[in-house]
Amino acid sequence: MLTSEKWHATAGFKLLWHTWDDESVVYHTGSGDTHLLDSVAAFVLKTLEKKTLNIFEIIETLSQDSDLVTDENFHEFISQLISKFNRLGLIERHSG
Amino acid sequence: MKISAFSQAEFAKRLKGNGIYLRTGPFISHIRSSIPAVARNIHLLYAEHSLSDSEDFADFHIELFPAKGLRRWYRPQVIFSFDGYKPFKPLPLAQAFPMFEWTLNWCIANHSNQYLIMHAAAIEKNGFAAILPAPPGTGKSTLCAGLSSRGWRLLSDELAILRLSDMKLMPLARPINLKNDSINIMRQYTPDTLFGQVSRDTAKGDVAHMKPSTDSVIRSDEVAIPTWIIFPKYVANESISLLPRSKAQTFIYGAENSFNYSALGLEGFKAMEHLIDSCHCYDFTYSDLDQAIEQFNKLPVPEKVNEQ
Repeated sequence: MLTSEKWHATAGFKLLWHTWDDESVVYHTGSGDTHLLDSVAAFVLKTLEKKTLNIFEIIETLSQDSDLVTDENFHEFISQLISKFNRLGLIERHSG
Repeated sequence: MKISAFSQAEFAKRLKGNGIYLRTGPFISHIRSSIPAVARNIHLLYAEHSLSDSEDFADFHIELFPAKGLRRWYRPQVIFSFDGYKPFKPLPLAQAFPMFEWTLNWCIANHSNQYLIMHAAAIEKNGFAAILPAPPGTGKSTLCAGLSSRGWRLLSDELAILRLSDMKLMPLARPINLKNDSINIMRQYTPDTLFGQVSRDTAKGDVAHMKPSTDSVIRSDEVAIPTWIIFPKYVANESISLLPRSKAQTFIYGAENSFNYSALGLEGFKAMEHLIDSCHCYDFTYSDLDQAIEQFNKLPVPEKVNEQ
């Protein structure tokens, strides 16, 4: 995955959320699948519902909103998270 | 008319002939069978259930009959037919009644999308219901049987049925399916209750069915408010504990253990969301049935009950 690639929530479908404490479930109206997300994963996906961002921009947004340590391991974690969201059809590459 | 109004011989003749139209909760099942063990067990365990006044309509048309040809003599088998279609392989004839119970569950679980149906037991007291989802072998049916013999009303021991129109739980009081050690445990725990014959060496081990209480059957039209979702686990010699459980994880478990969550799509998500949001969710460990029932009797009830 190129770090410059930009991502956003898959166009044309809604995500429906419910959050309890620090966990969320999200229903994807396209696939009909429901996913369980922790607070970081939920934050990333909610951010990509509103904005089109690359991994650096996602990490930047996260670090502004929390006290997470955004080191190399965290970059790898977010990169894997983006890959997983992409495989699940929750997000897609920005084609512009 | 109740099944108990028929003699066993009359009932067996009727079941073998045009069949019966059995009411179980919101469903009517047209059942035909020439197998004596099926007639005997239905007559015993469904004695308080009613037959439908009308024979014009049934939700499911079920037939259980012995395999023909050489199978009449060599390792006899039972065949299940649903609307004339045979979805399952035959089983040994000695397992005919358990097959009836399993296949009736299958009919309901797979053909009733006006409800969200979860694999779980459900019991009720004072209008409030506890849903007990759990994998096999965790003591779910034993606990459900114990509670139903000590003042809780049986809604169902296998299928928790949530009505989508008002998010209430529907009763489906049918015999409780007990396995292996649970059979003798419950025979001793509730000696006045009737049990069907034990079927040995089924896919689930030894299986016997416990008759539901008359109260559970009579109140088959009385819905209940889902209030608690409790994951029971029997652990020998373990102290009793009731601990809050993650609602989001309970949601996912509920979705994965529903028969029709995916088929219902967005409606299924909204129903599960409402259910989880309105219920207290717990993990429950127990080793003593009396203690477990005492704990259930102390479950926190919604405020409106306290106001009554």
